[in-house]
Amino acid sequence: MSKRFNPPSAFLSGSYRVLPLRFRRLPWSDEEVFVTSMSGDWTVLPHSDLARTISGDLSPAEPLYDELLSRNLITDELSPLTPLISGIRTRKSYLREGPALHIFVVSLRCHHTCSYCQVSRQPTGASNFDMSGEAATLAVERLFEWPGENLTVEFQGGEPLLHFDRVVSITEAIVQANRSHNKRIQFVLASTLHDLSEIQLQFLAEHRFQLSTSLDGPEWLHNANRPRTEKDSYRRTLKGIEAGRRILGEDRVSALTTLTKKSLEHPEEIINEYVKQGFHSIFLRPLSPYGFALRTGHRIGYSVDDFLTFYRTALELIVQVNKGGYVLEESYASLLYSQFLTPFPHGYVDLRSPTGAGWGAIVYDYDGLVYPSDEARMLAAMGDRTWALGTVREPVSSWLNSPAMQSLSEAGVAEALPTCADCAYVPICGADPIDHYARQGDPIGHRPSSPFCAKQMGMMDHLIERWLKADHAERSIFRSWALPNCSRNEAEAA
Amino acid sequence: MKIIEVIAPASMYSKEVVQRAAHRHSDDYFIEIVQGGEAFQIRLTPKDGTLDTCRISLQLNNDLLDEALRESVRQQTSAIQEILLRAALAGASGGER
Amino acid sequence: MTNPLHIRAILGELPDEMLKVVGPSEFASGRYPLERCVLDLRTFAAPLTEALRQLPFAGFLADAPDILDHHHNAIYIPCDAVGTVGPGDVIEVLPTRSQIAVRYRRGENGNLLFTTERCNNYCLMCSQPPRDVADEWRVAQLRQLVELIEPDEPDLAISGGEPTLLGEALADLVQHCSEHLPQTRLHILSNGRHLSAPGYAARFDGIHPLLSWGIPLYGANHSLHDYVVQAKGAFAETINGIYAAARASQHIEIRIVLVKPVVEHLRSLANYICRNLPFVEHVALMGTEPIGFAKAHQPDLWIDPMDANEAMAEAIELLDASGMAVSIYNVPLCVLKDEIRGYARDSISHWKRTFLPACESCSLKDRCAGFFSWITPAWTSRGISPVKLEVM
Repeated sequence: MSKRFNPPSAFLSGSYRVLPLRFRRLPWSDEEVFVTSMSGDWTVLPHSDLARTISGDLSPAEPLYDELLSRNLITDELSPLTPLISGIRTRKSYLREGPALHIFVVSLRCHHTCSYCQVSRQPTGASNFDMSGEAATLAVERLFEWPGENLTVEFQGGEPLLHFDRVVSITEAIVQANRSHNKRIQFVLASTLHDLSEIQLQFLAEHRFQLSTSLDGPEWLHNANRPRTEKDSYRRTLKGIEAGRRILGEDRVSALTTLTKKSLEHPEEIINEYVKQGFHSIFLRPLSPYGFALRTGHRIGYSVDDFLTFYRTALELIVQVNKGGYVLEESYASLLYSQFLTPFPHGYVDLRSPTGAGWGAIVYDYDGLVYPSDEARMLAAMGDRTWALGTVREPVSSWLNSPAMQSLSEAGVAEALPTCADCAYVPICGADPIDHYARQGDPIGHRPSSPFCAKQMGMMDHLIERWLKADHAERSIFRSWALPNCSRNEAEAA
Repeated sequence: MKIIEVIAPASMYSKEVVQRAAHRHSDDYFIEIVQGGEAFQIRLTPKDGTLDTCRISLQLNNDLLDEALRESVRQQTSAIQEILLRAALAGASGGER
Repeated sequence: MTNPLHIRAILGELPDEMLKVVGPSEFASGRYPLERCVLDLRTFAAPLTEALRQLPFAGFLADAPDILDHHHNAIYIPCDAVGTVGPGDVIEVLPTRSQIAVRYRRGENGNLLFTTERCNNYCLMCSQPPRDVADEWRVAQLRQLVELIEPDEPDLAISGGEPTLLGEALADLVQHCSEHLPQTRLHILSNGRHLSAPGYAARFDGIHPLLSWGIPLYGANHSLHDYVVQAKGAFAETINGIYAAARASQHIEIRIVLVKPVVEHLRSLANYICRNLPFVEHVALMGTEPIGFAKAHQPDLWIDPMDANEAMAEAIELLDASGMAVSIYNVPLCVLKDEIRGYARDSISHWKRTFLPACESCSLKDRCAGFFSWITPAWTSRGISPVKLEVM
């Protein structure tokens, strides 16, 4: 027997329900709003259509109905909810692993006196600011109490090369201990790369280190931002980069620039410098209001608006570089585009909900104290130990029960914070209780006056606008930055 | 200092909607909300005399409308949001790569 | 040139079972029980010895009519019969129709296990229109067939109708393949709906090392998909089935037949797959087979592949960037844009494939899928023309 074939109209549903959605009026448009689902899928539509949708007046026969359905912004009796559940789970899948980034501060000694230093550096001879063998041994023991199977171990300072013996001893202890755990561990060295010796390079190569260094721009800018007594930071940095590439491999050396007020005036020179030095990735990192930058802020600091103006210009220059055939991605844009264009999480602990502090990263300081983030450690160095989790002498379980961790839980879920809870960007943004505590005195924070919020929203607004107005070639460029082919477990910033 | 006043009819907006809309401007303005009979009066005092205040009442009216929409979404979806979150985050072992 | 599955033959008395055609090397290997073998006399240079004749073969096959006098279990294939069969193939005799049916062709692409004519969808373009019949008897036959297929057969499809309607018996059949054909890639063509039933997808976890699923998806939401497959509720079940399969560690391919309404929304479907089904390993964009229900719905379904190029290129770009393998099946190379020709495959089973006169002088002919042998002008692109590659 044959059944009748039914026309499309027979397959429409009768009614729909709104799913949890968030929206934002786009700053450059009178009419349009940006709407996100719980998992971060999104669309742009006229405000009046959104209002109609929410009031139940959308017709199942409209094309808009199909669009909203496919993005899990509405649902009906013929639509599965599994994609939304799966999307939420995927976006937060890093939670299963526990902190993946473990930072070992092997020494506070440094030969630089950068105006924006957020380390509380010490002079090169001050070995009382080195991490002791005992602290290191205990820290390694604590490291293996965490459940994650994929860890990034990053050595920082001061300048870790000034206490390289400790880098060696910790690395070897970890490799040894890992024989029984079999975790995948990536080692990273965050360093000026100055005066790298062949022996050091061989060691780093043997353990497949990634090297992360600072290159603030052309020589005059880099040296102005990053003074050392010999006044030749730039030259030594380039030498270190060359040696690192030669011995470890081209793709094993990455660089970032820390932007001072002076930097903001020279986007083109900074970008040209990166192209000249053969980098294919540039992280335009704005100043944080921590450490010495707090004292020097009036001289080297700038407003969020100034940074965003710079960033918009710099991004255009970078797009042009790419269109000319040279691959250059901007790291923060890559991160944000990966969130807009894919369902996957990223490895960047500074933009996460629940907050990456403690949940995503742990800092083992030179003196054996332990912190959930660099910023927490910096506050302690300035006299405020509110955010210390404990010491390496205590088991990890006691850190998880500390008042600091408790506060991070209470203030660290953006979806539960005032103003964030309603924000269209919350599925891909993050909570930063320690930043809000440092800047506003309260870990929950006040979003309308929060520079953290202003910066994130400014960046996201700009990248959305840029995407919507991009031509095919530009979208290909942004898409190539966003796709999950590279491991974002490598700590791209601390 | 010029005080800007916006009237929000109680027939259109709940107190929570009014508070949330006003809160968005608590960086640039001191906010006072007076509830009188059939309407809320929202009084905004600029914190800085140089602030450009010509669009604030239009902006606030947009925000009132938007907060009312958000309230409607919350009412329609808070139950399903809870269910979806539980399903997504409870015992998520293995599964989608 | 088409090579039909049914070949005219004059038959003696042979068992009503799957039978393996064997020549000298297959016989010498001793791999298959003689009672299941048909000795192909055409492949023996000299006449058979008496010893050989006495062996308990299921039958003897020749192209000389006198075989019928020498053996009661003979198969005589006249020289003018259309179709080939040879050693390594598996056949079934159909005495009432004076035919043998080739159930497996060694060395050919497109061998499949046909599980059932039943289906729980009713696709507008279905090339194998379903029938609601009790055909569970097929499973036993398929198990026999599996035992006679060459162990080095690279690929086998499991299709129908809807194979999951077999329930447990499908998992058993796959298990049977893992015993006899552990090195053969098995590809189940299924709408995936029944995979959403509790516990069912998990049955397939780890039972064959090379198992994958080809599941059609036609829209990013239920209205388009359910319309194309003519079953309300199909989209939800299929999506849930795909997730269940992913949780059971299954390898999943999404198949998209390029009928007009689907092509019109191809971009949003590609987007949907990248966003919601990122574990999918392969996406196949498929030209419509102009047979079965498709013919009756030609005006609603037909879109010239030339006009689908933009949509295909866009979809491929998205899927490719997301790390999914993409293939174009059943579309000839000449009508595809240069940049996406590389995704086209020689996909049509050779026994049902043909070329057009225009193809004679085409430089790309031996890489091209060609056309289904039942192609008609209504289903032929206006852009068919030989491609002349420049000699460098």
